[in-house]
Amino acid sequence: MLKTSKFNEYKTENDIDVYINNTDKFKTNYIHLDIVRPLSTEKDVSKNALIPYILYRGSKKYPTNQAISHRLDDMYGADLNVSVARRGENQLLRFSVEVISDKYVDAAESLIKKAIDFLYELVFSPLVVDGEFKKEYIKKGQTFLKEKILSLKNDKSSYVIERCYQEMCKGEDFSLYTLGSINGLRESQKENLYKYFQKILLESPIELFVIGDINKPDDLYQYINNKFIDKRDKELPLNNTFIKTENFREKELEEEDEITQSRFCAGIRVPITRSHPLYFALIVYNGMLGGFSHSKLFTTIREERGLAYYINTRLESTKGLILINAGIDVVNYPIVKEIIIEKIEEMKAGNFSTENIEWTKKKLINRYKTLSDNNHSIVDAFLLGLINGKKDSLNYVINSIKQVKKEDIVKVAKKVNLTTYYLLKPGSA
Amino acid sequence: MIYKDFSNIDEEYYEKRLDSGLKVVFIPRERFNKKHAILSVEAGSVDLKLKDLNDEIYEYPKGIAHFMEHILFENREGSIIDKFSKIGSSVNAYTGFNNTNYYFNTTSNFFDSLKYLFGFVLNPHFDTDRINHEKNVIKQEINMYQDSPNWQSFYQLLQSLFYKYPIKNNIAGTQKSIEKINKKTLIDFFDKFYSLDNMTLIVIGAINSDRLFDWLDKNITIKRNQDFSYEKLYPEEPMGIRLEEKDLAMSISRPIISLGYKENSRFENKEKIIKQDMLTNMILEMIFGKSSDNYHDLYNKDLIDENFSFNYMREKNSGFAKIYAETNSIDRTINGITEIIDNWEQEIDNENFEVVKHKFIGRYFRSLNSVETLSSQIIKYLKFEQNYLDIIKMIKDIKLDEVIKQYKNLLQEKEHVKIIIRKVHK
Repeated sequence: MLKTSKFNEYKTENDIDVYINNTDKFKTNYIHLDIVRPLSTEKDVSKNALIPYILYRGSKKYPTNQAISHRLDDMYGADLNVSVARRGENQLLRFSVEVISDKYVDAAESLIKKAIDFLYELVFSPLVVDGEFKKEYIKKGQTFLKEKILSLKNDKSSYVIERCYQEMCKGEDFSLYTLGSINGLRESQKENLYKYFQKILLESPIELFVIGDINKPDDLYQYINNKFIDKRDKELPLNNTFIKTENFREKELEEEDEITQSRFCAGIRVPITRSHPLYFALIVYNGMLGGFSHSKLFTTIREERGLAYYINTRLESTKGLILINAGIDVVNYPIVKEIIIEKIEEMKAGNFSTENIEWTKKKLINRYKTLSDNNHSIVDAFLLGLINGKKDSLNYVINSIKQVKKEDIVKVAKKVNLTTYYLLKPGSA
Repeated sequence: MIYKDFSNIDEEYYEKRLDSGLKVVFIPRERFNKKHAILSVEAGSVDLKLKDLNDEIYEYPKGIAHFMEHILFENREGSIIDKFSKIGSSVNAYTGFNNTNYYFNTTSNFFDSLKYLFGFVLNPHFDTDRINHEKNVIKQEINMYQDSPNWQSFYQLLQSLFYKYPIKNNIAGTQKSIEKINKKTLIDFFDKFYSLDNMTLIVIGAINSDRLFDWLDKNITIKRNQDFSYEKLYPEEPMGIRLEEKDLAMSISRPIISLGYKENSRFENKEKIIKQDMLTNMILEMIFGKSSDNYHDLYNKDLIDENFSFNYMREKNSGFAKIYAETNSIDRTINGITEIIDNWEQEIDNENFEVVKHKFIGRYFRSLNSVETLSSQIIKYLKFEQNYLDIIKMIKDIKLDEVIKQYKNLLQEKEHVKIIIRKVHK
């Protein structure tokens, strides 16, 4: 039996989607708010990315970052997180607060309500001076973001993944980096960001999640409904992703950097997303190819041949992409590439063992079940379902994976297009 | 059998030492799908030398504990990972300074997984071809870390803080040291360290406690090397730091600095050691935490940003505080940080101290949500004969005068290491 709990779904009078999951599994209450924007232009993506980092500097009620920190201290060291993420061609502006469950603290007031008040304050009531965010905070946000964009290069594995996405999706919105660009940041300086943010609040989908020990979800919803009173006029859809289905072009690129180990990334297009009948077969396909340590790529390239320290695949299920990612010695590049092509062909020919299917299914089921033991993962998985218009329950996902047949996997394999090879190798930066 | 009910945090705790010498801790988690078990072997990267009862000395190449971790993953029956995969479980391992931990997560087949776990950790197969193959994999791993600026700054910090104590070594060893590892050294290392009384098993999940302990009593019976009869030897570490400054360049977007303060106090009392870990982390939070004036001063002067971090690490024979920042003004940031540290005494106040205690309690509850975090913390505290489920009391009991004392002992106007990683010039 799967031990899981469900989200109650609500919508506030001002068109904010609220999802409340009542469970005593966790010792904390986790409150998470996503503002969903289309990934559109370099400039807009940069402006969007700035917003959380400006808001985080101070609000009307807590006008400095230190005042914010003190407020968090008052809530038993509540954990505040702001970030920006990309799911398909959507950019998420994310805000979350996690507090200890009310039953473990002898506070006079409910911590969860305090946390909701705080989150509202942070997002809907920013510090405004002369019709604009405080200049200093904009500047801080820009400096921070600039460094963050530049520092992508410090983590070679992430850098290679991002470069591979950029090259394989050139000309599509997905090639825009989640945090924007230096150019985009420069452009953003010419505009009134607060006005822009008001527009964001007015027109964007806003998804609010609460998960934890909530006695009366309906009452909590009422509390939220009475709190988030700002009038809205939602115009934008929850998903803005374009799925490319034809005209794939092959591309091979090399770059040099001051490194000792080479990083290699291969990009695959596969036009299957959640609403497609082969979606669950795609998940199994990805697991069999490189998702697990018993997968074709891992066993051949790392276990048998010792050609890489790591090799794995990752599925971007909203955009329909698979990336193969490996750390290798540069002299082994041709052979690693050859093996990858060979293994993908083997999958097309149905040349894989029943065992690989069964093990992969078991591992996937294990993963989906354990996902429901982590409050952050529950929210993340549920949001992906919302974006893709398919709120499948975990039970449904697990059953669907069980039912995937060999011929479904071969059908997926035949839709796979290996389009991009990207190598970062030792040399001068 | 020890049983404790921590009703204040809704946790229960079972602990037992089996006849085989193995220590077992079980924490029930009725509401979780995940069942987790971790077998912690007290053989880490610092364990390179032993003495037996006849005063005979055994020495091992750097990186051997980590090498062992890799080699155990393949035995006569083939890949261990495959074996777990077949029943839907995932298995993994990591090597630390003081132990090597082998663990699995599963949602069904818990006892089969447990059998496999003991099976592969206790029944190695040392094959020369396999050993040579693994050398290549580990060389790649060593190379991969070389390129990570965070890893470099940490490694260089340890290298500079310590003269001899082997915490300074790369856990994976060096390209050269792993060449010295062969079948003979591995068999010998295994024989000495991999006995049940040098291991602890932690189990967390929805499992029946009687069934678990019955199973263990019945199935885990090997009695090798009863009483771990070797003395672990460590080189005598001189007081003070080895190197004051290390300056290097990497392909990064902006310079990285880290400062290290070495713990010079020595004592045997285990509770005191782990309390010092907690206490010193609280001190650093008071000085540099996000609510402190100091953090915001540095931040507003553009000397630090969100990447700023600090922590104190204490293990049985060593300890150090590390402060990390990314900055374009190297000297001003270093001076800013050290000035704050040197002059902090006047800022110490009880109110701030109580706030930090609350913050640590909040963090503690968050840590209980994750079984992996919980098991690693249980292991850490158990080594010092403390129970992680009972540390709210330890947090509440810490006194302000202990804070002052440790601040003066470790930080105030003390010599420290500076690691600077600059940008490579094109």
